[in-house]
Amino acid sequence: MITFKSVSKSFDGEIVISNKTIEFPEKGIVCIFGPSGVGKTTIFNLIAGLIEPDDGEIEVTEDISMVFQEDRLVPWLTAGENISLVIEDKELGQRNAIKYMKAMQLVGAESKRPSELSGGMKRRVAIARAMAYDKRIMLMDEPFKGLEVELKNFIMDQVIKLAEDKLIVIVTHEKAEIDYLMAEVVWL
Amino acid sequence: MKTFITRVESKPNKFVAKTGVILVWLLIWQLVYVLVDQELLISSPLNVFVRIFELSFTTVFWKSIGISFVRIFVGLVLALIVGTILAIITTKIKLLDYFFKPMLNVIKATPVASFIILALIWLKSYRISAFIAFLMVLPMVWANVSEGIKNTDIKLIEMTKVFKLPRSRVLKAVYIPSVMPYFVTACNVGIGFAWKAGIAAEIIGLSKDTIGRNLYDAKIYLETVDIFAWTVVVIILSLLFEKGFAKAINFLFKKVGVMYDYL
Repeated sequence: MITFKSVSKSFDGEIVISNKTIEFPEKGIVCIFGPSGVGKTTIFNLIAGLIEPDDGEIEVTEDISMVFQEDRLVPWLTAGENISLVIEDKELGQRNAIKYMKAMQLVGAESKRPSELSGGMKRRVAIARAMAYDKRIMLMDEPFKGLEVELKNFIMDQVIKLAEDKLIVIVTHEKAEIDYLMAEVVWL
Repeated sequence: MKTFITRVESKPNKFVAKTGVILVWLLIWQLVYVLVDQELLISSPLNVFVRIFELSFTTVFWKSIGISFVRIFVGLVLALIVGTILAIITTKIKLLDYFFKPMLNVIKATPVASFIILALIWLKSYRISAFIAFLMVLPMVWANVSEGIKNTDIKLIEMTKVFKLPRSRVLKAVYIPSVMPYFVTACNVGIGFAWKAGIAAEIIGLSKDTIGRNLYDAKIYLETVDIFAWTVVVIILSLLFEKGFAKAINFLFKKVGVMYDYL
């Protein structure tokens, strides 16, 4: 589903990724692990097609769903609208918004704008949006940042369930998260 | 033990405050009138409002308002449409931005009277006020909407690309709400400009049955109270128009499903 072969990328002459090859499985959880500034988010942006590589081959054969590092919720839309926005069918969108908000323990926050939500709640709305989009590949950039342990574990359980028939790629700094998810690891 | 003292300041009722301010200014106007004591130079607020009341029973009054309003409205709406289209294409195609920028800068820098005199040569007098209103508001709308498009959050646009949102949805959910505050500002400033420039065009162009023509006639016959009365009418119309326009835009965008309620 994802081919990432001999990829290089630099910004303003500074090399961020050099001749990098990553082998992704068809399904399961892959964690991209490494310190800040080694190009984890750049890899996501390359896979998502938001930036072009300087060199190498990137091919993604399926649509992707994504949890961005900074949530990227539309500020003038409610939490529910932010989720239903990404689903083509309006009715299905509304149904899925309710379903995934429930799954993310966000009941009662449907009609709240992002500015009225806490950091953790915004994160959960972003995760719910990515889940509701329901594609075979899901990229999650530090998805559990700012979540309380109990909630984090609850969401990680859901991610494990989703990974039964999806490829989920997660960027993380936390070794404990990798252990909990029993994920394949790409070290950077 | 700490003691906190909270001072609660009572906020004045908005309507009462606004009315109070208007009354104070009317009082200042009356004071100046008494001090000057020459009806030819300045009329009293009472005389002006009595004159407006008298004029409101004449056909000329309503006909002039109607004709001036329609022409200025046409000019304004055309400026909003053309300005928005120009903003969209010049933010997308840099070459067109370079091409149109000098023209719009020239329009901004040229005195409105120069355009009115040129328009007198080019156009029939009844078209001048619409043309001038259009010309004065166009650069404002173009600049503001361009700014709004440029300031649309690139991260949200990237998000819509990843989730493969259709263009119409990106437009409704991201672009229009982002540009809206800039567009509304252009409208608010533009409405005042359109009225000022439009009426000036009517005065210089001597357009028949218009507010401008009535102002011109009042000046010729030294009817100071009429000059004040028509000027107050223009101010009231401009303010009402501004309010009505904002409401209309809000209604229109809600009707087409733009998720936006800043107005």
